[in-house]
Amino acid sequence: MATSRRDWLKTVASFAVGAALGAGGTYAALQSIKTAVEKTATQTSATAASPTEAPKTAAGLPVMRIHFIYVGPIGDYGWTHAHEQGRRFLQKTLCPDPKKWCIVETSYTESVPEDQAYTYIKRALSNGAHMVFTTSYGFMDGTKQAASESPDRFFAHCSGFFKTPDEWARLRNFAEYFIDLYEAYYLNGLVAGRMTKTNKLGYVAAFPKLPEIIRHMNAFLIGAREVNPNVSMEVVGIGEWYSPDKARKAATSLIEAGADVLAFTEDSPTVLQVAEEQQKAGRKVWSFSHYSDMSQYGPDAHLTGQVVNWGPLYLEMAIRAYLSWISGDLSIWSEWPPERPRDYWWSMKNAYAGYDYRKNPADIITPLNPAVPDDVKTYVEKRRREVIEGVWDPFTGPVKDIRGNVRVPDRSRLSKDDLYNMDWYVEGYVKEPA
Amino acid sequence: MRLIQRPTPSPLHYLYAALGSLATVTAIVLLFTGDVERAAAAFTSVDINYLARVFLVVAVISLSGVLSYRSGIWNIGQEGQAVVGALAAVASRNALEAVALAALFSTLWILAPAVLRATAEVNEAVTTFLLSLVAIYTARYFIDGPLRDPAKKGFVVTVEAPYLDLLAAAVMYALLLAGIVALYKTRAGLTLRLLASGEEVVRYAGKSPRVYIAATLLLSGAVAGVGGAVEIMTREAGRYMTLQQVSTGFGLFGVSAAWLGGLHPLGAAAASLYIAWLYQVATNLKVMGLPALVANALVGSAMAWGLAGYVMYKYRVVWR
Repeated sequence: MATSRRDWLKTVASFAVGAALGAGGTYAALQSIKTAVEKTATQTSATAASPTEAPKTAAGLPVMRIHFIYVGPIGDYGWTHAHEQGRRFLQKTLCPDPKKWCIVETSYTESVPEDQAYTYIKRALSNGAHMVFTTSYGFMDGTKQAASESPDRFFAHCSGFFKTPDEWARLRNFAEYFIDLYEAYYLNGLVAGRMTKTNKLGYVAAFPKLPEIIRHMNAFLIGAREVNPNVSMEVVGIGEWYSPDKARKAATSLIEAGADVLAFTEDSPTVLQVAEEQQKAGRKVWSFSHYSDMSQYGPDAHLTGQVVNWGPLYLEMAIRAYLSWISGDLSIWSEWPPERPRDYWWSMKNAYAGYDYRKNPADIITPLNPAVPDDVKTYVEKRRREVIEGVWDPFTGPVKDIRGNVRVPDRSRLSKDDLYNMDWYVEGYVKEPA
Repeated sequence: MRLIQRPTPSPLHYLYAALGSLATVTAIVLLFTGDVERAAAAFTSVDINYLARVFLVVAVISLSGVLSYRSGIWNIGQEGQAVVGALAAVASRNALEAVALAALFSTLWILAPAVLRATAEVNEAVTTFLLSLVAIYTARYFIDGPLRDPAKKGFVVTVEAPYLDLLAAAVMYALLLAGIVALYKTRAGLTLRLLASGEEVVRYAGKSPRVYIAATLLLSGAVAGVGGAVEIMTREAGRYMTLQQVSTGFGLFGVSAAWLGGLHPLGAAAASLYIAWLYQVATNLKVMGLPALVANALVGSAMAWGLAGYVMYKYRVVWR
C-alpha cells in the first residue's frame, strides 16, 4: 500500500516522540536512582507553625523545616547546583547528627517554572515548612505574596529587591539576598590583562543585557585595562543560561577572531573546555571557572575563577530565623543585620579571612594557575586585600562609558542601586554588546 | 513493520491509549515514590484553583490543535502563538482588550505559514514550528524594549498583564468550545473537516481548498494565542515575562490533549482535564523531592499515548 507524505509524517513524528521519551525516561530513571541513594532525609506531615508544636530533637530543641525552591535541575554545576550545595552546607552545619541534635530539616523542589512559584510555596507551607528560600528572580512576586499571607513563616528570595521602603516595612518576615561576583571578575580581569598576548579578550554571556552580567563584563574589562590599556574585548551573547552548543560556537568564533582569554557568564564549563582543547593543540588560550570550581574541566587552561558558596549566607539567615522563631521575637530576624536588615548583599568583602574557598567557605575566588607570573599574583593579592578592606572598588572613578562619557566621576564610587541597575558599558569593548 | 489503514476506524483505541497512559503514570509514580501511601498522596492531593487554571489553559490550546489536525493541517507552533498571545496580553490595559489583541496578533503571527501553505504548498509543520522559535526571540526583544517595566529597576521584566478571573476564563472557554462544536455542524465546518480527506475532495465539493487551508491555520493560531493570554492573565502572582522564561510549555500540552482527545472538541476537554491532573501529580512529585525530569516525563508520556491512540485508531500494525 502506498503511504502518503502526510501519513509518513505522522508515523515518523510518533516514533520520534517515542524515541525521545524512551531516552528521557532512561536518563530520568538513572538520575532518580542516584538521587534516591543520596537522599536520606524523609518527610513527615505535620503542619504546625509554632515551635511548641514542632517535632523535637533528643535534646528537646524544636526542628525548623526549611524548604528550597529551585528554578532549574540540580545537575553537576551552575546556579541551582550552587544553591543545592548551600542547602547541604546548612543541613550539615545545623544538623550534624540527626539522633543527637539537629535544629533544621531541609528539603527542596527543583525545576519550578518561574510563573508557578506561589503554588509551590503554598504546597511547601501546607507540607509543614517554616521557612522558604526561593532562588530565581522570577519567583519574587509569588514569594512576597506568600509572605504577606503567612506572617508566621519566614521567607527569603534571591536576587530581587524591595519596590519601596513601605514594602520593606510591611513584609517583616521576608528578606532579599544575593552574593555578587563583580569584584572577583575584576581580579580575573587583572590576570587576563597580563596573560593575553593578542590583547584581545572574549566574553561569552548568557544575556548581555542583564544588569548582573553587564556588571561582570564591565568589572572584568576594567581589571584587564588597569594592567594593560591596549586590551579590547568582544562579547557574544547566547540567549540561554544553559546551552553548551551555543557556548561552544561562541567561544570558537571568539578564538578565531583572535581572543586568547575567554571569560563567561553562563551555566556550563563549555568555554573552559574549548580553551583546554586549544591548550592541548599547543595554543595558549585561557579561561576561568564560573559559579563552581570547574578546574577539572580544563586543568591547563584554567587561570582562576569565581565560586559561590551560598552556605554561610543560608546559615546566617537560618540561625536568625530560628532564634526569632523559638523566642517569638520577630525583630531578631527583621531588624538584623543592622547595616542592611533583610537585604543581604554579600560579596568578596564577606570573605575576610583566607584566600582559598576550600579553607574559607565564604571565599568567592579560586586559586591562581601556577602559570601566572609571581608579580601578577602579588598584584592580584594586593587588590584583593584592598577590596576586602573596603579601600578599593573596581568602579572607582573616573570611569568612562563606551561613548566616552564620564559615568563615575573622579574619586567617586557607585551606589548599590547604580551597580544593581547597570545598563551602560565601559570603554574598551570592540562594539556595544547586543 | 508496516501500518495498514483500517477499513473502519476503531475509536476503542483511544480508550486503550488512555488506559495505557494511566498505567504508565501509575507505574512511574509507584516506581519513584517506592511505597503505596506516598503514591496515593501524589495522586490524590489536588489544589482546585491550580488544577482549574492549568485545565483552562491546556483546554483552550487543545482547541487550537483540534481545529488544525481535524482538517489534516499540521500547526505545531502553538507554543509560539501562545507566547505572542501572552505578549499581547501584557501590552493590554484590560482583560477584554487582552483577549482581542491576543487573537489578533497570533492570527497575524500565523499569517505567513498560512499563506505559504495555501499558495506555495510550503510544509506548515516546519514553518509553524520554526516560527515558535522566532517567537521566543521576538518576545525577548519586547521584554527588553517596548514592554519593559522601568519600575522593576535593573531587572529585565515586562509590565504586568491584566488579571483575569478563573471564572471569567471558564466562561470564555465554554463559549469558545460551544462555538467550535457549532462550527463543525455548519457547512463551512463540514468543509473544514473534509479537508482532512484531501484537497481534491474539497475541490470536488465545489470549494477552494486554499481558502479553507488558510482559514484552518488562522483560526488555529488565533485560539492558541488566546490560550497564551489566558495563561499569563490567570496567574496568581507575577503576571509578567522575564528574559529567562518566555515559553511555558503549555502549547505542547495542548497539542497532546488534542491528540489524546481524539481530535474532538469535547474529547479534548476531557483529555485536558486529564493532562491538568497529570500536571498536578507531577507538581506533587516535585514537592516530594523527586527529580523534576520524572514529573516532566509523566506529561510527556501522555502525548506519546495520545499519538499512539490516533495511529491505532486509523491503522493496524503488520509485523512483517
